[in-house]
Amino acid sequence: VTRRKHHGAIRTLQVAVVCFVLVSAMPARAQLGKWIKKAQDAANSKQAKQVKEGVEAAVPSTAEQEKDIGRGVAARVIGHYHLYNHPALTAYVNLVGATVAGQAPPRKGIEYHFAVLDSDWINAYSAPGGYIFITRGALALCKDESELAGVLGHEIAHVTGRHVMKIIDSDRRKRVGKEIGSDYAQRGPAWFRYVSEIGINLAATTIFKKGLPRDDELDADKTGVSYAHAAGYPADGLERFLVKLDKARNQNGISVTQHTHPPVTDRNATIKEWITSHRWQDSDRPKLAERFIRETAAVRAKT
Amino acid sequence: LKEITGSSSEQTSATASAGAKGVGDEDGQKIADAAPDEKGEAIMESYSLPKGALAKFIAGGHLVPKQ
Repeated sequence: VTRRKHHGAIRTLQVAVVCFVLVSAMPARAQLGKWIKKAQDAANSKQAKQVKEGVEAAVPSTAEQEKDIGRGVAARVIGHYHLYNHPALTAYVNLVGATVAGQAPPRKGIEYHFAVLDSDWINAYSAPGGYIFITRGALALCKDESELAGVLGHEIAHVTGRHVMKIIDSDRRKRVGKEIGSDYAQRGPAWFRYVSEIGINLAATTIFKKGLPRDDELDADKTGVSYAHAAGYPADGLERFLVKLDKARNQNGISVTQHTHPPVTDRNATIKEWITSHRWQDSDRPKLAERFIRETAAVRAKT
Repeated sequence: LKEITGSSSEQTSATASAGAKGVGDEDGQKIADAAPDEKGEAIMESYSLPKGALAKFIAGGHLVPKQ
């Protein structure tokens, strides 16, 4: 009997302890629940932010964002070379450029601007957003308007193909989640910080130093030829220009580092194949040599 | 385009052999690092062709653009 009483007392004590623990733990559990909820909310919010940024970064830059980059690059090109101040020549290059660009698929918010750079170097550049440059030296090497149309067509094709912007958008995606990678869909502070600190430098280094991928260059050749041909010029203008470019280079014994473009032989083989496959060869279309020589007399007088 | 790249000494020889015309491509990094001329960029961007000039130009060249 005594043992039973003892067991009963122990059991009562155990129940009391359990009840005490349960009762005293209730506020702590409630507190823990609050902490868990808070942590879940924070995680959801962070996740939601990351998803939002991921979606924004996956969306290609807008036309306005592209122009922000292009303006910066164009300002550096002009800062380096300076514009060639010759209104009649500027008008002529803009007319040829607009004729060719008129055959490119319209891109909402993108207009094409053409300028002549005051340089003897033989070159042409395009920046995102439709900023297209040709040097006096390149104009002097052209023999007729169809060659100029071919060169400008190649540069226009870089813009329509968004070749530089693909590199910018890829870089943006890598930065998602970092502070600078946020708010890309808007032209807010984060975007403008990206443009000024990274975007313009990346675009300029790509265009002037590293070069675009080989496939993009060959694509610009083919697409540019298509634009020039659709504008009414013979399809082989760019090809003829590149032959002269190669010849001028060889004549002057300049060593070549073709890290920015595929070799001319490869480019012209691609162009020839493109023209042949479309049956655009042996065209009797106007090359417009006379008009070209008349309108560009200033560059030959200077060089 | 950027087909030709020469060093500054090569540029000198090109200039000498080609008369006044230099053939080549300057150091791309210099262009990329150039001080921006925002005024020049604004001039370029604000340029517009006179109304009707493009149609006249196309007709004058007997060009037949694809419609």
